[in-house]
Amino acid sequence: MHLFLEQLLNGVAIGSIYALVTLGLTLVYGILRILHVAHAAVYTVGAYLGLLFFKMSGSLLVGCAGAMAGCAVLGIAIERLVYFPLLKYPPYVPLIASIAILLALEEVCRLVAGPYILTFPAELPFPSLNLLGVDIPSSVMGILCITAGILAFLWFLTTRTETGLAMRAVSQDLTIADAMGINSHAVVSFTFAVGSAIAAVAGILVGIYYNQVYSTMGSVPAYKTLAIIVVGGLGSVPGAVAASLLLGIAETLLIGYAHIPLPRDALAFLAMIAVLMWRSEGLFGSR
Amino acid sequence: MKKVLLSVRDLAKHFGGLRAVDGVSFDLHEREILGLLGPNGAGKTVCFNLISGVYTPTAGEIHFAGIRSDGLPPHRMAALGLGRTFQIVKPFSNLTVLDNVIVACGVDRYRSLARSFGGWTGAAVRKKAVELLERVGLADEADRKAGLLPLGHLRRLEIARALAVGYRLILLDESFSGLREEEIAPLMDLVARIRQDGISVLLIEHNMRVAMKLSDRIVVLDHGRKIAEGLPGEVARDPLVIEAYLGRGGSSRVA
Repeated sequence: MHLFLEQLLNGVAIGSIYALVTLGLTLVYGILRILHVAHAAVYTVGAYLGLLFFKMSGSLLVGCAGAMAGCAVLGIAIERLVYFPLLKYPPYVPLIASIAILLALEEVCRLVAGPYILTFPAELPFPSLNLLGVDIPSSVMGILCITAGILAFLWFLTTRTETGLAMRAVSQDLTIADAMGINSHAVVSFTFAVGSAIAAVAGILVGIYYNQVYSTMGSVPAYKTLAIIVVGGLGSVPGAVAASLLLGIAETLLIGYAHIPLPRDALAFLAMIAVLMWRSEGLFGSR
Repeated sequence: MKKVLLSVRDLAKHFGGLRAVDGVSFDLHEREILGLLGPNGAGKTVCFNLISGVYTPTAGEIHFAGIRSDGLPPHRMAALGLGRTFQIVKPFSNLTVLDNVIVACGVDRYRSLARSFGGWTGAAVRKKAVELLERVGLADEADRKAGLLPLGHLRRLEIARALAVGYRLILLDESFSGLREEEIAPLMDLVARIRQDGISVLLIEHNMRVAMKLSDRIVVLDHGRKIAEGLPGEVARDPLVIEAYLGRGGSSRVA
């Protein structure tokens, strides 16, 4: 029973990280209707930047802040230099551009940092806990608390602030939002900045959790998060979070606990195929 | 002499070889309802899009509220007090009717991210939005999703949003089209009241009866050029106008 609960918690932790990466993808899809595959590269860059700033300063907080700022700038640059000029073309054009950015950024990381797996020798500043005999290591505590904090912030931002109302308006119709006095382009850039900063946090958390940072760490998340937003319903933030958590738990329990002989990464795609066959709008999507 | 609020000079917009608007000039005075008429494809909506900043003119100048405004983006025009509706109604369908208006009430605050982030929807904004909904007669629908409203209500919602932005001028793009007869009269009253409150109106209208009755003056476009300008009665008798609408040899009445 304890093992089950520990695995369940691990599943929630992994699902939380999926959620943090997927959030940016969902926000971008919601506002521009672009499949932002390169988001996974932003996450990789975030892990590297976090490690760099952490090593320079010795403080994880500084590392995190630096990586978030760097990734926010990177996200805005991708949006301004690549996506916005391509918006007038059919959606596969920005998608191909996005794949190109993903590969290019991975290569840049490899060239700059070397083709090695770097370690991320940091501890998350959270206490470990023993709850009813179940050990919760500090890394899991950290991931859960940080994810909860970010989700609460996003919920507040999108539902309780005027910026959030402007974001929702822009995601429905850019032209009309502009006519209502909203600087739509600024709102789009802001959305990219928020999504990319969150991806940086996810990259750092993964780096610390597995104690690994490497240039292709974004490859699997790049397509897995696509499967997740399809399962959750394209553009739906609650759907993306729910699908991420479900997937994290399912992967850990079915493969780590029940030892079903399937490659771990296959589950996301089985789920996607099932959703496309029986409920193509996704768990939380609307037609 | 009344003050000029909007002045359009030799305005032109070409799309490739198509001269959608070709050297149009007119003035709109404060507290005036100016009708912009013309057959389909005359360039009326393109004119609207030029004035509201959606398009940058190929040539010509636009002055609004004392500044040269051609080429300014739509959100800057909105900040100058220009509100507009769209020919094809486009509410933010997933937002409530009230939120649709609140979105449009934020012009002052959207200029700075910090301000719009800090000051979440306060009671004052909400009150203003509710007042606007009362003014257009939609107060009872405030909490419904905008996507569920019938067309007549959507036209009113568009006007409420335009009023939230446009404290100087609102552009109405065929706000009367597709409405039932009994919906038209109250909407005409609404537009007349808007002008009494000191807001100018530029009106594109296909319903001649409505345009003639509401407008102080009328400008008629055809093939991107201005073919007539004047009082409704004069314009209706203008042979060029009759020809544009009915073709050569048409009767002497514009229906």
